[in-house]
Amino acid sequence: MKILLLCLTFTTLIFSNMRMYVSHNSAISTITLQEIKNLYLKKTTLLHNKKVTVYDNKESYSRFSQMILKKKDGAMHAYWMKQIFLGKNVPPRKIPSSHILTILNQDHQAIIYSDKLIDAKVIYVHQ
Amino acid sequence: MYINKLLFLLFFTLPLVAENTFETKFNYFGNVGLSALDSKGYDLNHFNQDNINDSISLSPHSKIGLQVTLIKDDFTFTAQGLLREVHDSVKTDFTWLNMKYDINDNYAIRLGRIQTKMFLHSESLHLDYLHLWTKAPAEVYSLMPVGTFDGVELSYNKIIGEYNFNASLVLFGSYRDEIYSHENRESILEVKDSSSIYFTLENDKVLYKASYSRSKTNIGDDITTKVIVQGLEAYGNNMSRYSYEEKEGDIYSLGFQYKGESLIVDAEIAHFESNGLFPSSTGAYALLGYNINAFTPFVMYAENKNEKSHFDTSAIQTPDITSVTLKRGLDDIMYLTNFSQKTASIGIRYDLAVGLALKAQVDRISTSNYGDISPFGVGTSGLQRLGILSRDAGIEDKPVYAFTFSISFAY
Repeated sequence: MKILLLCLTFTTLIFSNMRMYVSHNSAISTITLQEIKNLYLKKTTLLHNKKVTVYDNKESYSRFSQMILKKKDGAMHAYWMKQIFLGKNVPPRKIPSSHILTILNQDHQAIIYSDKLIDAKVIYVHQ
Repeated sequence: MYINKLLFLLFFTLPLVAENTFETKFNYFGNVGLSALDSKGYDLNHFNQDNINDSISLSPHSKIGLQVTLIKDDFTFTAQGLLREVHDSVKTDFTWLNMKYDINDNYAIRLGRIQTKMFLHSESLHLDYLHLWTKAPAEVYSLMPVGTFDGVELSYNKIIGEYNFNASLVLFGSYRDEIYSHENRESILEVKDSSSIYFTLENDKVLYKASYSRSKTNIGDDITTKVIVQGLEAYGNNMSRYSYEEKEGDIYSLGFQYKGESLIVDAEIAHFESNGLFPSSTGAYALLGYNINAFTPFVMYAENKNEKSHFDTSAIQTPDITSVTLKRGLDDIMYLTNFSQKTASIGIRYDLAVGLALKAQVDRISTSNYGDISPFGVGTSGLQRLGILSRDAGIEDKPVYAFTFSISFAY
């Protein structure tokens, strides 16, 4: 029973962390919270002076917006509506978790988040 | 205009030629708004939408907008169409129709139809879903009667720590539109040689804005004004400022916005300076909102003061009875150009779902008059006052209440 509880706690801890992933072959090794915010709100497309492509994860989108970008669903929607209708930007492409590895393997400049452990390089962990 | 036709053609042919290489987004927004005044004989005018009177009406604030965005590498094509009812006919406009090229992370150039960025919310005035209010404070926003320009915009973006700095320059701006000063009084407003510069500094919570714009505007003077002006010129008076034709106007504005966890503050001050019949004026407003779950009640106060010196015609020489009569006619015209007013508002927004909001607002509007209008002026114009809140002949001067309820959406 104790082992089961320990496993549950451990699993919850692992799953509650939001991780930023890049391909194992990517030159990117770190990213700061502010850089994540700037990239995901499309204030910039550059990271360490190189162009990157950020993707939203369909399953973790709401949690990511609240944890990292500090915006609730309504505020996030309003933000993108303003960006779109003012002709400034469109939100990052949303992909399902099952496509993450395919995207990362195809594009070494791609960045994506997930609250699940996946076989890719972790460049940031948010607890 | 030629640029816009080309962009229009490009917009609809490029996706066909380039097949699936464009990232395409379709979005829409709209507003269903009911509005009415509590008193008869008054009209709350807007330059390019229906006026509000004592009958409950859907048309002043109801609209639907559609947008197509095409993205390919560093190029973005945007086309936004707006449909609404104005004076018993359906009016459709392209509110955005432009091509943007991101030269690099800092510089971008945009060509085509662009909405002005003059005030804090100028670019998103039609997007009711984004605002707490049901209608923007006319005391400031009517200082710029057109919201759209055909021209070129150069912009510079720079991230400074947690702040984002933007400087934008709009050149060669021009636009032509029908405007309504009162009920069915229709005029053609032309804006030419418009140049503007805007600066914004913002982070997640605060935004500071400073803008300056210079434009040449033209509205054809009516025959009465022309006769009076030419008559007084014959007496040796310099009457160049008593015209709407080919006049220069400058607008300066400063804005501030705070969007915290619960507290929302908007404040803006703007000054309009003209060498024509438009009175130079200063407008300001402050909005305070507080978010409690899905509800956001707010209060707003707005004020506009036309410069009194604009209405002073005492320097005009009137040696005989004819010139005195003409000057009396000019004073009547001047009196009707006054649009000074104050509005105190209270309202609430309820976010029903993501992308959908219900809003209600009550405004108390009072006006200030400079000088007086003669019985002849009242007789010929049928008005006791024009301005944003106009008053028919014989109607008592008192504060008026405006009620607006709307359902706003954006997806």
